[in-house]
Amino acid sequence: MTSIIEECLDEGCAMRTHSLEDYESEVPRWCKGCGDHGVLAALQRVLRKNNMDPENVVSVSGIGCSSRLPHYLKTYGFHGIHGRALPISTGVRLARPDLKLIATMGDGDCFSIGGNHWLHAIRYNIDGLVLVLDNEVYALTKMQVSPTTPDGWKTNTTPHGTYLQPMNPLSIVAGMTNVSFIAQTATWLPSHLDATIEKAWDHKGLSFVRILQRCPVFMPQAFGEGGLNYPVIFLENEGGIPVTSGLLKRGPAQPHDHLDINEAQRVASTVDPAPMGLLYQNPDLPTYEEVRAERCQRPDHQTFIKRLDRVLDRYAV
Amino acid sequence: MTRQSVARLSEHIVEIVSDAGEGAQKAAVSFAQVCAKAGNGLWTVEIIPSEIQPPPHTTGSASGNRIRLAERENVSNAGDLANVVFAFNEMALLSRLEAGSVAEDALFLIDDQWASHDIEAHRRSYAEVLERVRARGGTVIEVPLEKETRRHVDDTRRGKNMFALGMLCALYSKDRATMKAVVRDVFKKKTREVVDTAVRLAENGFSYGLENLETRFEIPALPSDLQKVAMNGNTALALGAVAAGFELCSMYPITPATSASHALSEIFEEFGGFVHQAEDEIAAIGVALGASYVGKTALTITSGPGMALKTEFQGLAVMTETPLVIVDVQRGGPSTGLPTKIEQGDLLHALYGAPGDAPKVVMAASTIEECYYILSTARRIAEDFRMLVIVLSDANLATGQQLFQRPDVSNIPRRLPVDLSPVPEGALPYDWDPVTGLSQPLIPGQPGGMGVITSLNHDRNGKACYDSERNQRAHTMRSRKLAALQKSLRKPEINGDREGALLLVGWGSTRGAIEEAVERARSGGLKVSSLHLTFLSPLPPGLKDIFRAFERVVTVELNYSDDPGDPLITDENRRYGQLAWLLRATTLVEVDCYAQVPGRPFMPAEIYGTIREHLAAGREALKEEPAPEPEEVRKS
Amino acid sequence: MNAQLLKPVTDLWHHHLGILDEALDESIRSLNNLLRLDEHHRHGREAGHLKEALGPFGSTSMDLSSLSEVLGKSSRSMSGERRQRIRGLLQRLSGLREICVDNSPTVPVAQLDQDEEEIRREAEAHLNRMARVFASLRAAQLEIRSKYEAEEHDSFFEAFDWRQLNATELSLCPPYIIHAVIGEHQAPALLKILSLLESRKPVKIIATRDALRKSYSPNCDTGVPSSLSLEMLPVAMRAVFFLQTSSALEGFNEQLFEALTSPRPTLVSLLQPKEDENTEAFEMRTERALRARAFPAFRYNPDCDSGFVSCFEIFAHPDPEDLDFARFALNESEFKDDFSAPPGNCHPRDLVPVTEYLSLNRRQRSGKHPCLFIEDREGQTISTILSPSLVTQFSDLLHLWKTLQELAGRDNPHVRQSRDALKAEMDVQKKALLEDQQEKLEADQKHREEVAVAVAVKRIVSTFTGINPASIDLQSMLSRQGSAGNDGLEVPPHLPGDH
Repeated sequence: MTSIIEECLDEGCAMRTHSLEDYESEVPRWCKGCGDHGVLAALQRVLRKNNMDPENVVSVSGIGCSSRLPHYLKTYGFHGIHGRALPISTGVRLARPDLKLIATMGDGDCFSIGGNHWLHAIRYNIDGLVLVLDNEVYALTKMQVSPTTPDGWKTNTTPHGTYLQPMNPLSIVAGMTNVSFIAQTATWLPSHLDATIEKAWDHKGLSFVRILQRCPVFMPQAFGEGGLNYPVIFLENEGGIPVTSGLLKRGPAQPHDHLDINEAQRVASTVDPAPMGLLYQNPDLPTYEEVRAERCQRPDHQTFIKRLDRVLDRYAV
Repeated sequence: MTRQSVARLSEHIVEIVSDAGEGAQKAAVSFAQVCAKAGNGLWTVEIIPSEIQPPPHTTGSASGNRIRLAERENVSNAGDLANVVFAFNEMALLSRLEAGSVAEDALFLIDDQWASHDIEAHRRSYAEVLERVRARGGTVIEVPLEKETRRHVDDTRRGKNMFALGMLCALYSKDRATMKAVVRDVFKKKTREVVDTAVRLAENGFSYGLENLETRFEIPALPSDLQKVAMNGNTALALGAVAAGFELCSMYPITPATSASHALSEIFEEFGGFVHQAEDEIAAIGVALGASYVGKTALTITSGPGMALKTEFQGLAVMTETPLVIVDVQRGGPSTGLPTKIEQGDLLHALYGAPGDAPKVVMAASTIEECYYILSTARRIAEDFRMLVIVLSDANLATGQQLFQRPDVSNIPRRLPVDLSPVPEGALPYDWDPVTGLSQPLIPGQPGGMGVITSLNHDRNGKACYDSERNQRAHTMRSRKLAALQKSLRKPEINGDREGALLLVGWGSTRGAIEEAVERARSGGLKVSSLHLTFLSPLPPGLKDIFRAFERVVTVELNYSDDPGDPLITDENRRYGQLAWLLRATTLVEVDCYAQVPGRPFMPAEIYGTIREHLAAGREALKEEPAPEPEEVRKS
Repeated sequence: MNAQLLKPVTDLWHHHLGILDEALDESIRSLNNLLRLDEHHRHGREAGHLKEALGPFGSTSMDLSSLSEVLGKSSRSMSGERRQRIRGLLQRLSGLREICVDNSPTVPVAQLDQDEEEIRREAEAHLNRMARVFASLRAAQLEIRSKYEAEEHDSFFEAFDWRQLNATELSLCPPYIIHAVIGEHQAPALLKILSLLESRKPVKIIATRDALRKSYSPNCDTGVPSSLSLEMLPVAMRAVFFLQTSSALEGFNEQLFEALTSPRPTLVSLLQPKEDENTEAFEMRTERALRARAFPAFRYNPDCDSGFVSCFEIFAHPDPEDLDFARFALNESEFKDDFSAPPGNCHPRDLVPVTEYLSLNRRQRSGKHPCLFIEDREGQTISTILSPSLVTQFSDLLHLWKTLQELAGRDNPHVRQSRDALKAEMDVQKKALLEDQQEKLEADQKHREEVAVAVAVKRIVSTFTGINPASIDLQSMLSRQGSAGNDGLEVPPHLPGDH
């Protein structure tokens, strides 16, 4: 019902046209050359493109460099605790499906301390943009090994090189039940980053986007020195992330069916070259908040009271 | 049968126990219903095996209920030693002796099939247990429970309980028609055949009892016009959550809290809410916090180990001043401890569990009725003070049943929608009132209120800051809210005289037993009073003044304290009960404690014993050194 | 309008009113919630309210007047101006609910033969009444979202009329319905319909006819009649939704629903049962009319696409050989006067089957009689002559069908041309492919024969010489035989004697 009324509100009548400045808060205090700047800008662009009222957007984050993002976005923001952005996000969506959600995490935040929440959030499939800004290192705490740190690299907790193979987050996501959207992009490919975030924004369901970005301070050599020498392959498909001619200079394109989970799982399991673009999308999965709201009745006050009285009857003596 | 007598009593405690799965609980619940309908006051306690399918015919398999029924309407606790035990086998009976919960001269009804059972071990142990019971002074009535039931059903495991119910109803001179109605109601979801069989068995048990029991009892009920309900504390919490207007309860299964979520899940959707079972305890509070942040104050229900996992998020709720309600249904700790048994061991954890200074509101329910009402209070305080409110319940309240006045639902306030009205330009997320520290939240969706809230130290505008001045300021403001709340708490009322030799102080579900013990002592002329605390943080005003009017102040708590008589324990290293610890710290009064971890509720008799001990010790002390006025002692 | 038609129309009407009523109800509830919130901000912290909210647990352990004092006043109550505005809006919305709570069993339907000015006036009034509902719903939404700016929106809603309604709103608007009865002379009704549709008002005209006979003026050209044809309306008015169908057809209700919920001015042309016709007979007649293309069923929905062809859909495509209009008419009572026995002086040579007659030019037709050969009751073949009016309608319908087919993009010279070109190209390709396959097959056959011979030779050699057969290289033997040219064909795998 409400949706009908909403449709009836055409733009000229209810909406204000927003500019980029409407989404800008304070000046970001990330290091020079950090990829976080690019992600922030891409988000501001997608907000403007969708002419979102900033008050109807909630940006949730954990702890880490990238989790500072809500501070710099002029929407509502919740800068939470390490690893726990997704439970908070789930609560936001369950209580208020009218709010658009952006959850921003780092690699340690999401894949390590928040690992359990990560897996289950994908299975719940709440509707929201879930961005993991993966720089393959714990940066805010000054260079410790993260789950995605490449094999053998030296960090302050692995001074002689890491002991374990890095985790492949994409194949984990692709293997989760009820996954609805997986994409990978990188901050050194700004147009691809923009297009990916736009695509994720439009998706109904949990849009998991892993964004590769180098930490210029603690891990400048990562990703072939920030993409200069990093083999990627662009996934190309109608309805996927467009592969422009500029991108083809960075790597070849490969046809990919992002509606096929088996195909997505196969591509997700490859790391060299890194697959870029939309790996998987299922636009038809119901979101957890929809599933729960559907069964939820909305009694008016009188009915509410009558029902509660009837429940008490069961215990009457 | 001739020479029957009916003894008139004012109250009795009866325990019904069987192997798990034989339905003693159902018989007990039905019996409680029959008594409740007759107008008796009640308190029931579940006797639960800690395993789902324990080996049968062992003490570990005993399952059932303790029912305290009385002439008077208000029964506030589970009482002392049981007067009657109805056991389906001798091991179940033995388990009650081992629990120390049965009077020596109690009446024992027991199935006689074991006397002539095929298995020799059963025959032997049956004889031994009966011997032991009789040696204690107990009366045993051997009942052909199995034999009689077999005449009506093939599977006696599903029938003995109704026969037993019938006998109990006969034993307590209950009304046959009421019993039949209750049985029909208890089995209403079953097929007609099952219901009819159950009714027939109960009737047969009833007739058998009338014919064969030499001594029967009668506990007349006092007439009352009040409409009453009977439920356990977890159900009361669930209904109370609905009445309080919650729309989301986010939880993770943990004993003994989970059954509250069961009861809530059953009904919540009809009321526009739902229970979210999260992936872990941490996520459970996280989801609740997220919902609260966007304007729908949520609830999470847990127990000790879950509380431990939730502490980081508790800190976040305090830091961001997000309203949130946590119910902690306490169980025995530490670690997994005694999952199904009562303890009041989480008080200090609730108060101080989160790292850093994290002021929060802590309140405790003392009755099942309070379990129903407490969440409305908790929610409103959480919202108006933007605070975390922890509600303490315990395993005793959770599974026990009590009769209380049927709540009036007609005056429940209407649920308010989320306030999405625009806020004035420049509105701040933490617009602290300089005196009270109170402020009004900015809720996502409110035009003009965009801004971030953070787990970092922050200023009134919500922005992170690291300087000492603003860190001190933020701490002060968060703490000040507790002081503001304390200003609106009433000075607690004393049960008994305002001065005397001994004041017992308690909190939570021990209230009924404490007050009963105090009454007993007072009727014997002892100068004892008691004080019950509903708010543990902030503590109500006037405690120090109250304490000063008594020679001794002793807390009564179901948590651990060192016994001063134990090896190595001295005045210096003795660890006190948690409330005693708290009261000593806040009032600087020499508060002693009677703090034990029996894994079951206190019996009034135990507390009565403590009263006598402390009074004796007090007299002793007076004799030894004719001391100056107590107040001067403390001043020195 | 007959009951069969009235029911779906009435259902739709009540469905729409129901939706609007629900929307009004929800808006009223939300606005009341705003007022309750405001009330809460203004008075919720008074001791009395606190007592209610805290319940017995809190109110016995707390001093509520101290609590009230500690909490102080909320700073979030709304401005008096806004409160006033919301109250006014609530009053308007409650008033509007009366429009939407309509329990009358019938829908107001105007008749085409009413005065045109009156119809226009009434339609305008109806649409504006509905526009008031939508305007209030919009205003309510703005208030609920706290986006109502008095400066901007007061004047906007002041001047609001049906012209501001958007497509969704127009679809949800209970329609203004005009009923037109189409008789044998279509022109007068059609002219009035055109005039009403031209007004841009999204009125829904339902034109019904129970007979298919059309009468033409006596001096009408039987070859190319110049009469108005209702079915050609989509070409004349590109922005009007047009539906021609019959309640006897499958999907009728969905078609009608689509037409009546179109945001456009709409014309629905329906074939209806005659007064005493039962359902079965009517279904049969409709089916025959469709087969004979006497009543093409089709839809033109301008909102489907920007191109005409994509918006135009013919529901049925009967086989032209199946049944023609003349034979259809022969069975229909309304045409009974259009058939007569040949005049006594008529030479059998002048009796021309009507289909043939239609292909003659005017000069050739002279002296000929268009007729049908039919069997009489005794099974004798006799002839019956068609009236000029019937011939004209036949010809008219043939042209119409052809035009509709072309408009729907199913058949026109361009389509035909590319179809032929494509077919020719395919034929060439198919032929080449066939030849190629043939060639391969023959080569394969030849190779198998050679292999069989070689194997036999190998066996003989081995028998006579005792050489291990495995050491004889069959491949080289074959290639030495010079039987190249069978690339891709391998030696058949299961040759006997290979073991």
